[in-house]
Amino acid sequence: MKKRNLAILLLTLCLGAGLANAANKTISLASVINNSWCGDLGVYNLNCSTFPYGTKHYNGIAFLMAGDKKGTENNAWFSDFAAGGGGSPVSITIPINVAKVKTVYTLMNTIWGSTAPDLLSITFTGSDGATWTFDPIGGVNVRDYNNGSYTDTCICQLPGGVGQAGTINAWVNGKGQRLDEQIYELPAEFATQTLVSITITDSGNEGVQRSFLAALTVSTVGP
Amino acid sequence: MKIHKIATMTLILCLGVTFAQAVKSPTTTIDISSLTDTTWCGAPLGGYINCSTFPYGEQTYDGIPFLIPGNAEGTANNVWNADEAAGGGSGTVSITIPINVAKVKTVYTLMNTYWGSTQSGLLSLTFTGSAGATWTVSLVGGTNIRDYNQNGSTTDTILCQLPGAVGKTATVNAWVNGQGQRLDEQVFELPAAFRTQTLVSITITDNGNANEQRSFIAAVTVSTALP
Repeated sequence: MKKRNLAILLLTLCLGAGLANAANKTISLASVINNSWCGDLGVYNLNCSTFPYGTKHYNGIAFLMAGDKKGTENNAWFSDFAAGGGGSPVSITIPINVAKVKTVYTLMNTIWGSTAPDLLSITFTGSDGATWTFDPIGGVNVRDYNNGSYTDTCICQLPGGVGQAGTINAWVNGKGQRLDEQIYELPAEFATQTLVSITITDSGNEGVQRSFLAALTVSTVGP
Repeated sequence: MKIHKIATMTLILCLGVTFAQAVKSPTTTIDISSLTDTTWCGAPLGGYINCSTFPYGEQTYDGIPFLIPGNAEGTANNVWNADEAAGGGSGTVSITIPINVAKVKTVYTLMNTYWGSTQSGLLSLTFTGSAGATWTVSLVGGTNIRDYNQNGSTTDTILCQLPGAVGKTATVNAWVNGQGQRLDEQVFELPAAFRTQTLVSITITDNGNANEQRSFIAAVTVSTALP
């Protein structure tokens, strides 16, 4: 009887581990989002009504974007709106609290865009002291949401190893606007800790570069 | 007693599968050296621009291993170049690459073009399974494939996405030399029918022309995992 119980327990653990291996988890940004697509991007009149909301799959990854059909709910965190249109640094910390995260996916672009360094950073914080700060650079890791006169290129690669980041496209509306997907393969120490939070700091300005974040998904498997 | 035995057997199977997944790499690099027809520096039109910077041997791009033929001396062929195969003229040229790997879900290629065109019907890949599965994909310039040389006058864009579902194709960048040349990675998520068959071969058919578009392939890797 004891052997039988042990076998069933191990089986449950084994199947559970298999299921856990496949786990991607979308993160709610409800506590940080500050404007709607047409409330912020709308001032530029660039097809804001075509922008996505709700649960979407891009490049095989699930993303949860806030918002509603009427466009009355906030969709994203806009750093330009957070800064009141001024030039001061603005920051958000997003609670994650997911164990053994290997990969983080964000949907992030900029209004305007610059290839200058130090305009944007993202810091990952683990439960047992792990931290990793990455500076997304315009034209490489992040670009203007509008195909035009600012940053129009991205590296168009996957990370390829731990402690690396890549960026590929997620969504286009066929009218010149887009959302890109940043892929962060966390340093190895995060694999034994809980990813507690992610902090985004934007040090840009109007007419230079201001980022916005629309969705965030974490995964316990590699990209 | 029966439940005990079933649970134990299932446990053994579960552990076995988990162990196998943990120790066996899902990717297999395919050696295409027997099909290559030129070197980076010996290719038509004086070779590829900045040809000495181009990679060979075992390389990893976007987390995927690739085997590019060639040697340090530059004397061994690196690629199959459709323009070379066509003798610099027009007409259809084709190669069939033997694969013979079971339960393939994803195929990765390193392909670009000489010149480039957004016209359809210039290039296709056909995947053939051991029990009748076939899948033909037309690669379109500016979407799935582009000029290896960034020059603004031919095809400089790619989709820059992953497939996201079975029966879909996408392209991301693999390698750049910082001097304007590049190799891109096509990602093919095979239709579900291939999961129970052996992927026997991949046939590349190029219907381009000089000064229009001619493709070349530097490496193929197959995977039993999803992208």
